[in-house]
Amino acid sequence: MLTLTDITKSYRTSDVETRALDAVSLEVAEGEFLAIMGPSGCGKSTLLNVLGLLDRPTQGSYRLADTEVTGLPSARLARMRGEHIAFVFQNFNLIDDLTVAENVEVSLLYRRGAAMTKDRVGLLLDQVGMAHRAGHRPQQLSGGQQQRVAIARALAGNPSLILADEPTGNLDSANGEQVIELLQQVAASGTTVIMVTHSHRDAAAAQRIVQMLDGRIVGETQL
Amino acid sequence: MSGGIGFGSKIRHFWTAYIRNLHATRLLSAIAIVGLAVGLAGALMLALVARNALGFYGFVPDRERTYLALSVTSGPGMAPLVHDVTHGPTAGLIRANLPDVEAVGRLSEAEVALRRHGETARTKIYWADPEIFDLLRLPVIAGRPIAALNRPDGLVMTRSEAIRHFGRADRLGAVTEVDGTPMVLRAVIADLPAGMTDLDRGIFASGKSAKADFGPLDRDMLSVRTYLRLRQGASPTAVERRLAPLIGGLIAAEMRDHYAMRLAPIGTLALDPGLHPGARERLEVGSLVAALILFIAVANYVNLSTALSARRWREIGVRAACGATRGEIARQFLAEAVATILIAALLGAALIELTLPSLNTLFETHARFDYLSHPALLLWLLAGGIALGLAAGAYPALVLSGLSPAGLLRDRGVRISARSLVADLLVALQFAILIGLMVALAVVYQQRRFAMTEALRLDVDQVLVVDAPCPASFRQEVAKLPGVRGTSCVGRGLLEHPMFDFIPIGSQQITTNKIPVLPSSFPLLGIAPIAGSLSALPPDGEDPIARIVVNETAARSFGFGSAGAAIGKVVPISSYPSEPRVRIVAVVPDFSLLSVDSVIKPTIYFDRIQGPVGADLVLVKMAGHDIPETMAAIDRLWRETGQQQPIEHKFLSDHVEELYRDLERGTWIFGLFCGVAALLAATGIAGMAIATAERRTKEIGIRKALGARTDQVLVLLLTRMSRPALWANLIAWPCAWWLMRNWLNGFAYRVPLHLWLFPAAALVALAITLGSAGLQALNVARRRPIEALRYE
Repeated sequence: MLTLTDITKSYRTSDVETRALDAVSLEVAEGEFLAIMGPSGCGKSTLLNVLGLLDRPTQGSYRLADTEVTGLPSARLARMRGEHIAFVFQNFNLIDDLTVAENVEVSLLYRRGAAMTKDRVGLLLDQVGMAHRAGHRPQQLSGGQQQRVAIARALAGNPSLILADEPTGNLDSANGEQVIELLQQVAASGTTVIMVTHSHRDAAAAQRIVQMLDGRIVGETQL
Repeated sequence: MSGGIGFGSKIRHFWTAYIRNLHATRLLSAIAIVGLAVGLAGALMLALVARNALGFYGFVPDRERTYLALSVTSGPGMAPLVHDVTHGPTAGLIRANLPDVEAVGRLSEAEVALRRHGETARTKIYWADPEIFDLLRLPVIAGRPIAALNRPDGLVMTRSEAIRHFGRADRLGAVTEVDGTPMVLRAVIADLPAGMTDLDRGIFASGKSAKADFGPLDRDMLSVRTYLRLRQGASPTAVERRLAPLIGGLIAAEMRDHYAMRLAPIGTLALDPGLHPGARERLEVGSLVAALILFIAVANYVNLSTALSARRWREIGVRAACGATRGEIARQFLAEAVATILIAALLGAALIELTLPSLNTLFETHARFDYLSHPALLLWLLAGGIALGLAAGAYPALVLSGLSPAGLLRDRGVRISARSLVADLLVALQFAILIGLMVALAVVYQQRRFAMTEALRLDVDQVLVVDAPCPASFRQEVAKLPGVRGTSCVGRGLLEHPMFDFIPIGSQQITTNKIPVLPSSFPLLGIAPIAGSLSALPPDGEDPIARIVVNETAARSFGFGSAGAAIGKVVPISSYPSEPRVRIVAVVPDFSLLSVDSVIKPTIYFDRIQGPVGADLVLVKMAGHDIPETMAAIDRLWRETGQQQPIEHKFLSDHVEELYRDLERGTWIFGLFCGVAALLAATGIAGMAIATAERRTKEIGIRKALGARTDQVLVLLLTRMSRPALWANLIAWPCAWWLMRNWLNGFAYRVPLHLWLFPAAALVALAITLGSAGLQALNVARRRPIEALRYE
């Protein structure tokens, strides 16, 4: 599905250079559920941004769906993001002004060849158990409900890769479990899932755990 | 899954997002939209006024080839005077001698007695050549106007006049008497489009009638409008050149060097600097003010929309994460800007619909918002709205689409700065405009007061002007009334169109006004001689004239070192060497009842009642009490002393107000637009204050947690907010100084440009900032730190 080779990401402020990723190499297979763990500031989120084409690496190679993406122009990256990738965030990132159903629609707007029908949105919301809240605004939902909507949004575009950044970080354990179960189902259906987490329990749901420290991959556990 | 995502669904989605965002930010959005609506309405209003001036005679198919012949008279030391009339026979000479002229026709305004069903009304009409309707192509409702005026008894009326006289517009064949001669209504034309022609009468009587009057053959009489159309490709300057020798015979020999004929395209008449001095400048100033107001409104919108978009960081991040390109996000915000401007334009148009009639009355304009009959106007409005929307939306769209999605999605804070260099610059420019407009308003107001009081240098209070050639019995009886302090007589030239002559002094000719004024008029108008005495003059005039009074300028122009030096000196009173010379007995200060924007000319006041160049107005100075009774008594005495005509009178102060009506109107328009600008700037700054305070909530929380007091936080916020208002002075002061100095230079007698006005305007601007931003700042500054810090 994707291959990272010697990926480096540095940030430069006036006189300090911070190396957020340091020669990271990683291969992820199609349909794999991978967890990335590590202390705060170790580069997990930066890695996720690079994987999600939201950020460009300073050096190295990144092949996604058989395409070398590091040198692509930003419009092409945006297209690839729309076609292949979806995100689930710790803080859900639902748009306050839109209803639950409209939030799910957003991921179809910029996607070529996707059909947006009420049925499709309804089906997805049903899948995450939120069909009865389709007309509500995000502020009217609990954290767990918001995250389930965010997962429905991620699934709407039929992505081949879902990137989840601490998806249970803001949830209680019961809601957290539900979210992890949903992600497991998604992976089981053939979508690659990469999840950054602090929680060993959540990580245990994955097929493989990658450990990071100071911008490097320092260990790997196959479960 | 198959098929593309429906275009309709996309539009619906974006529209929903847009409307919900507007709703969520309704207060600030309302400030931006209402501001834009007012700004657009102001700009549109001025554009509609300009459309009239620029589209003058726009309905005439050959407008570019159609001209009005203007007479230009000039003399040494005087600015050329432009008249829209020529000698009556000019048209005939043109027709007979100039093959380059395709058609020529005349209009001559006259007051006639129109009699119908035994009732007579005095009405102003035009005697018109039939060619007029070929030249000016006024839209016809019934009949054939050219054929109508080819018959000596033919009458053409506008629809309103036909209804007024005959009850209905379609009464072709109806007869009315014009100065005793029966004439027949043979054609009806549409009402003259207001403000788009130089015609103000709606009745056209055949110039072939025996009663038609195209001016006496008196060689000094300019009284007829002559319109002409040149052949394709003919040059107006060549025609003017060929005209000069032709019309020479129509002009008195001594005037020939002082007269010229000029052709003015009919499309430019409204802005002709000779016919309407200052009209072009007023239009330019109006356009500038409209542009400034629009700029303030758009700047408000740009600032507020950028600040408001700060709440949409998450939406932008999510859209980018879902595959939206930078271009797509920019297009979304641009489309929203266009939609907002179009909503504002719709509101602005409604505002124009509601207020145009009152504004037209107030400003004496004829602007029409006739989008039903001119759908192109709507298209222009739409195109203008879209263009403005794109311009106004460009900056916010550029800023928002350029944000890094990774940053937006990772961080929970607002990452869009509501205060940027552009925002500060726009606010500073808004304030510069506001300060500039306030200085301008103050200067215009001061000049108006000056013009109507000090610059007159005479006392026009309670002076009644009766239109009568100084009838002795009437004057004597009126003078006996208890409510009357005194009476006197003057020539009409004191108030309008004074007679002038070229007085030979040494080798020079001095262009000098000559006005008949009885000696008692000077004290009656509060004027005392600065040299000499009026007592030597006979109170009721002398003929032939032997003694005169001159104004200071005349004394100086005639070469006397001082007013005193002129006393007793003998000077010519005419350019004719045969006329006897006269003695100067008094010099009076310069004063003028003619206009404040022209320099006071050398003037000779001569003491004569009788004759064609005698006094034709009676001045009555009233005591200031029992005015209605005194007026009634004057009217009664008018009849009792055997005057035939109905009495016509007006107060001299009304004449003065009439003179300064343009200035007065200018003050009004300026005042109104300054008010609008101030309101817009104030709401804009209030909006920015709300946005800034929200953005700085966290900072304020930290400062308060660290021990800052409410007043310290308040000072901090207000200092930051008022900085652009202070910077604005750097731009506003020099610009306003330069513009207003130039404006004042257009007046012969003017107020000085007071420098205190500039800091005063700056203080008002600062007060507006503090007033509008203060409440919000106080509100934020008073929050408990825990609330402020929890805000995120």
